[in-house]
Amino acid sequence: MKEKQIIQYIKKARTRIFTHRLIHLGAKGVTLGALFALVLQLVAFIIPFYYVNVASICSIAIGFVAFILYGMVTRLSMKQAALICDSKGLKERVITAYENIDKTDHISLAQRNDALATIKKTPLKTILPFQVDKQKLLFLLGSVCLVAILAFVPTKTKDYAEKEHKQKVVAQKEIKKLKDAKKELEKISDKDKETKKVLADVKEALKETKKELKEAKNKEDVKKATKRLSYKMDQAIEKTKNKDVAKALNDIKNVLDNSSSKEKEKLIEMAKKAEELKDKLNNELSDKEKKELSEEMKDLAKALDDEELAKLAQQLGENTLSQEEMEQLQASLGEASQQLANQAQEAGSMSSSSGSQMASAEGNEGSVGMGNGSGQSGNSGAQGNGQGAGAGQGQGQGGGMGNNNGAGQGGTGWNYGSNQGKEDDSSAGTNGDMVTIPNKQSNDNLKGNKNNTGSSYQTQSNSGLSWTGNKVSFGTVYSQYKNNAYKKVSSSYYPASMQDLVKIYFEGLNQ
Amino acid sequence: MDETYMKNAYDKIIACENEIKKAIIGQESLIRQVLLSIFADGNVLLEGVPGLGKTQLVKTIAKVLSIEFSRIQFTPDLMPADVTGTNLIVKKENQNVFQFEKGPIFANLVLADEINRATPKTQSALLEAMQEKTVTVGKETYHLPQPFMVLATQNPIENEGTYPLPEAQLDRFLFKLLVDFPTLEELNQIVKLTVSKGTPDIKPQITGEEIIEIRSAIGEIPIADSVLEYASKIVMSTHRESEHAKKVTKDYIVTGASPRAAQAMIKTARVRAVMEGRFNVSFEDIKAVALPALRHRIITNFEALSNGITPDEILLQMIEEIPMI
Repeated sequence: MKEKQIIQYIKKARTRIFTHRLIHLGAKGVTLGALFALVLQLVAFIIPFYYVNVASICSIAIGFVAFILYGMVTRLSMKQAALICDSKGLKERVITAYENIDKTDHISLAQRNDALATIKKTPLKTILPFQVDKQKLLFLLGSVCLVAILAFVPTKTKDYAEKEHKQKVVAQKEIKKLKDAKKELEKISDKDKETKKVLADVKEALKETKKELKEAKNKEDVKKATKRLSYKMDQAIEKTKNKDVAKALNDIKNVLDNSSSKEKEKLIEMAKKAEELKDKLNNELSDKEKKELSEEMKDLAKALDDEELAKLAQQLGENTLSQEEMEQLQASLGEASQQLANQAQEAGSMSSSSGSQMASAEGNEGSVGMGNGSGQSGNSGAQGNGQGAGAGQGQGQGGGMGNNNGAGQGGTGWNYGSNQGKEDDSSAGTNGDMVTIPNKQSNDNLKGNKNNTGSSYQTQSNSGLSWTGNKVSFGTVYSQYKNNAYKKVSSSYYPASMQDLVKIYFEGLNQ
Repeated sequence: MDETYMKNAYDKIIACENEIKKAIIGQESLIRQVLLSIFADGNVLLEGVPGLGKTQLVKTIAKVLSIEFSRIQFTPDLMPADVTGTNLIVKKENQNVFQFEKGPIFANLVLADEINRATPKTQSALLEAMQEKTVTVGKETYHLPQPFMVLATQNPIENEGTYPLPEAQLDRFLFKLLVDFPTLEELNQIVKLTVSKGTPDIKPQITGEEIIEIRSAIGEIPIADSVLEYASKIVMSTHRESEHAKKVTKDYIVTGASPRAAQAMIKTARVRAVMEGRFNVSFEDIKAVALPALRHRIITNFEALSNGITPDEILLQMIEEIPMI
């Protein structure tokens, strides 16, 4: 009976020590993890590190788990627990009684009685209290809070890291598609000498594109790389005489282009949602609608490039907007839909340049990128910014050089059309190079070499951005843009030279 | 020997302690340690300057324990036979025969006063008696009366004309106790006590037989493995070549303690446990007896000597560094 009581006492002590130790070790693990996370967060201020928050959470979690596991593995034995009890003033009574638990001589019995009497006088709560070291606790909480705060501090490095990550994701997707395409190429059988050469060219193109994608620094680089690949694929398709191979290559090309069309569809969908949301904001919203709105705005926030707009949308998603902010959002939604339209049109232009439908036209080049949107004026007197994103039509005329007139209609889509044209020149039979007019500013890959074949073809995408809208004349759009630009320039601080530059630009457009 | 017996033993030891305290003012730690040694069946070397009451202490102890007491004043011309006894030619039934005449060592409690004044030859005469409790003269071996213990004193300051005890003999002493100078209050009480006419009436508290029984009972006091290991670790730590050696050991100790040191610590720790009212030995007991059991068993190097570092300082630092758990 007395033996059991002593053993029971030691067991309870061991459990108590174990629990206490686990708590302490866990706290120590979290503290160390948090310190490491803190270092990571500070490093992320200098070096772009997209996964810094994930890594921070992981380091805290790993610290906690590792120390808990260590605590469990190094669990105390009964003897160790007895010794710890003894060190709290029991003067080795417990360990001696435990070690001599089987002995029945008088001295051992007397010792056991003495140990039991002492145990009863000293409950475990008094000798092994659950103490919290306030300093350590404060240090732990402080470090965790600091990590949390640093995680939410926006910095340019973090933004850069995020952009870089997005870029990498896009590039990885493209690379994956390239790998799939390569596999498909491997499957092609029945290869004659010419087909082999074509396939080798395609493989080389895939390889080059893969390398370019790996080295891509921004979206533009990815687009350029994919465009070039698309063009090379077209050339390969054209070169090959084997219909089956051409069909296979065409299928591969479709797969490679598929993502841009998907992206485009997604953006169209988002733009529609933005429009719908804007409408909803004009009316009273029910709770259910608010909930839906919340979810939609969160999605919108993810899709938007514009930070402020995304932030606003995110806030709305969390139902934290004030009336003023609601109005601001309403106005901004117009811009959002515009932006989305732009993005969609951009995607459309990519798609158009690599569209699956091909048609040839003599002495004529052109691409049609269509963007169309409708704008509504806001409720409370807010200026509606919903300009119609017009149908972009690019027309090129053969005659010595690839020509791209981005005759934009109704908004921002006017110069997104990309051209693939071959110059028609019957006097000579050489093929022309690809001529691309990428996005507004960059024309660095414009390679319009003169050739003599005299043939050109146009590609047209049917899957461009095209939702219903009004067709607006160039003059109207031009004057709207010009007025807006002049207004902004005059209302904000711009250096005089820059103001002149804007004016010169618009004057140049009108000529 | 049940619980009641142990409690009686405790009462008797404490009674002895209190009785000695009547005649010896202050020096409580010294009294306790001498008793530890006596009930652990050991010999004690008391070191201190003259006039601190060493001889008085031993005499008081002899009275309290009611055992046969003899005193040997060690001098340079003291011969071994003067200590152990010698064979004399006596006439017996008209024949001359050798008869052994017992020396002063044949007593229960022997006070070897100023032991370092005798020559090593005479000092060595005590070796067998202290360890084996026997005396061999010629071809005959004589058993000393039980209980037997030697309480020796030595003066640390007068080095001229003295013979420091050899290590082998020092090792025979269970404890080496340092007799400190009393405090002012203690000195006042000592003066009052000694200059007055009346001397304290010291009464015997225990008999020799009872001492032997209690020694036997105390030998059964259980000791936990971890405590035993702690004592062994302390001894091992005094050896500079040991894996348990601490820095201070390597710096200052030339020769470490013998296994007798561990035995001494365990034996005296058991007595201390009983005197503290426990039936088990604790780490605290081991720590309390470590210094007197080890200080005369280690040999320090010249560096310690030149830096004025005493064995006690080395040992204290070393013991602090040895973990108990």
